[in-house]
Amino acid sequence: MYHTEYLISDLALASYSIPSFVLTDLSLLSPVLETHPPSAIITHADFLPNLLELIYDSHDNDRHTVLVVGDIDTKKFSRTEKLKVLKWEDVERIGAQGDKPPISTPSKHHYLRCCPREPILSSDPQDVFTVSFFLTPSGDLQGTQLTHENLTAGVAGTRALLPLSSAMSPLDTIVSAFSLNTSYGRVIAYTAVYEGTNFATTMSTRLITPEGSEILQ
Amino acid sequence: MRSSSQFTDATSTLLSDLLSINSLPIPSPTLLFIKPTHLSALTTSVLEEARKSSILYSLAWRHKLAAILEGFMTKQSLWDRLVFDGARVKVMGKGAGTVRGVVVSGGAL
Repeated sequence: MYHTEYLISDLALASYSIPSFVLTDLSLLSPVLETHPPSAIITHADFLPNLLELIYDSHDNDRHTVLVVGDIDTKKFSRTEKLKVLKWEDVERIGAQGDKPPISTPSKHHYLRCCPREPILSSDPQDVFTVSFFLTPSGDLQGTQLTHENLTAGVAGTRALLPLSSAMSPLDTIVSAFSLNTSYGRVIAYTAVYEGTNFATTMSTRLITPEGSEILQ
Repeated sequence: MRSSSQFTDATSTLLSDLLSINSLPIPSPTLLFIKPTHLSALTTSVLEEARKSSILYSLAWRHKLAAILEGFMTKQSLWDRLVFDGARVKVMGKGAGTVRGVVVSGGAL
């Protein structure tokens, strides 16, 4: 379970105010690709063949960048003329070596940062940083916009679930049965990050199985 | 083979889902954020294990239920030591000693 990569990507996109889309179910991928085409897709290597098929079927003229976590089985795919496929580890390594551009911090006040290389928009806690797509009971696609405030409130609420006398601490280990693709699952993960606990999710939360082609309920 | 009617395939799937954590290289879980189905699978398994392994189960269950109805919720009563602790350890492994809080959400309990 690649939680580290998920959290790092999420935090990176959020801190640079780049909106992200999250899917709670793999069956939502094709509708979302058609209606809200993203500039880049982060996926796991097990799902790569299916993803490439979907992209070729839906958008022939848009250039996507695909960021892949995990080891790519090069035997299984070959056509990459229209797509840029990058490995997550390579991107992380290059980013860690280079100069870090200033990060916008959520703040209601604009203030000068020392040595900015380019103008950075300071983001508001009420800015939307992600859209979570899910299926309604009737089968329609719906999206929820989440702001920085929403997630912070979620973490604060989750911490408050335990009494002060036995609050969370770095000695704890949190096990979650909620997928990181759901808002609640994400909130639990961030609570674990905030409190410094160990964290794991159960096997049922996985969206992508090693077979690659199955779409989990 | 399990003979009780309460122990279904769904229960064992959910239980093994929860216990899959034990194979990961992290310390034993202390806080569980789970769904109502997971919780009922866990409680059913523990009670079933207790029923199978101890003659005193019905007595222990009656006392435990009476205590809970009075408002005493504890893992350290006499009946826990005699009957339920062993069942918990058999079902949850190391987690029986380390889990200190369970948060349930995602449906009716």
